[in-house]
Amino acid sequence: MRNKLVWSNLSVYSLVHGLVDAACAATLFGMAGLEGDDLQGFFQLVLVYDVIAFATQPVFGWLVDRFKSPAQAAALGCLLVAVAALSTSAPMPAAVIAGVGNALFHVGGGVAILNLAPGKASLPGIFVAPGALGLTLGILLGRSGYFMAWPFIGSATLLFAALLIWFLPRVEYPVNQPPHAEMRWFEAAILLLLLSVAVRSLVGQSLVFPWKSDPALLIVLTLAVVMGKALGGLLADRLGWSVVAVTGLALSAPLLVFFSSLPALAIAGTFLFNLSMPVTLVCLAGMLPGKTGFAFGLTTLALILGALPTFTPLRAVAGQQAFLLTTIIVSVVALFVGLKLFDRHFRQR
Amino acid sequence: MQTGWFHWMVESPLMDVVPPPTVPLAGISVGVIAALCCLVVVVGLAAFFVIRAVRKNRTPNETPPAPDQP
Repeated sequence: MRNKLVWSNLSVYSLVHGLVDAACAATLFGMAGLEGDDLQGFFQLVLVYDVIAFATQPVFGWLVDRFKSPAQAAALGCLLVAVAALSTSAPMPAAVIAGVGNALFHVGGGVAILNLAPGKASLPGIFVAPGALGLTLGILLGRSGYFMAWPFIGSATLLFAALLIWFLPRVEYPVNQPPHAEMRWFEAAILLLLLSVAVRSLVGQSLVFPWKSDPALLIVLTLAVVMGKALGGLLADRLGWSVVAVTGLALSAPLLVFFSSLPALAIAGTFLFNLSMPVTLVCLAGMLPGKTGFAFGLTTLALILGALPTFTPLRAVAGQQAFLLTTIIVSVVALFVGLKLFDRHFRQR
Repeated sequence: MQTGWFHWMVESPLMDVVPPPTVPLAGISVGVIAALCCLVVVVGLAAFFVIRAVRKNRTPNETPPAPDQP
């Protein structure tokens, strides 16, 4: 019975995660095609979409925790993304609706999956992994123009996804947080974990892989991101969170910084770089039991805070080798100390 | 595939955030940038207060021992 609950929720939410990210990216990039060469207009759409999709998740997460309704939030998110796909004649409202829909789905799905097996990184890793694949496929689909020609196919699929989520067996919400003897390092641990996430996002957006124009290498690179996130959780539960996350991030530094022009090494580095993602997520959820949605939202807020400088001319600085190496080292140290604090003071055994 | 502004896609890997095309931020409406910055700051502040409240709720109450009865 428990297995059925886990597998039905995990498979549906993971598949729909890829679908939602693909639909959002296809909607955005399809609108770029409609707008011709209006670069500024498209840049504005991406900025608005990203900030709404990522920065509002702590708020939606807090609401989901309060009303204990992750499935409803995820289903509503799918519906809104479907509406956005049909509203491309008004680009800015469509970007805003897609952003809100994306945020609701991520928070709802994230909470449902985190609550399936609290304290385990495997399931959240599998849930977050298809997002990168969806993002890549969505961008390619949006640019091709097919998504704009038949948006109703995407919308119908999303409506079906919303129905599927609605009728899934529901996951129990954890009870609220019990008092804790030692709260001295509470904010410090959270901030260090979030700093590590933000820096990872900054580095991820600043890396330059000139060989990515080759479609085959682009797909392999995307699969490395997907596998890194999915296997990161599984390996971390088996071998230890600190070992996998910190070692993976540290080993990725030389590969990403000094060998970015060599596809094989850069792809290996990208895989290692993504191993820590599910660990930071499940750690933050563990710090805030009963506030899973809010914890999930904090990680996405950190993601957008880290990515925002790359939307400005600072991107040129962020792409320098010395900067990349320094920031990855900062991320490794923050992750190591954050995980140690979590392990010593907050981990439920 | 690689036409016009689309060249940015040959650069960074696609992980979480949708990457921006390579154009300067200067052309974007100041109102939009201000609104987005406000949103991020407000959510960040709200998150800070929620974390503080969680800490307060989880800190055990240390009630002083009742004074001895005469």
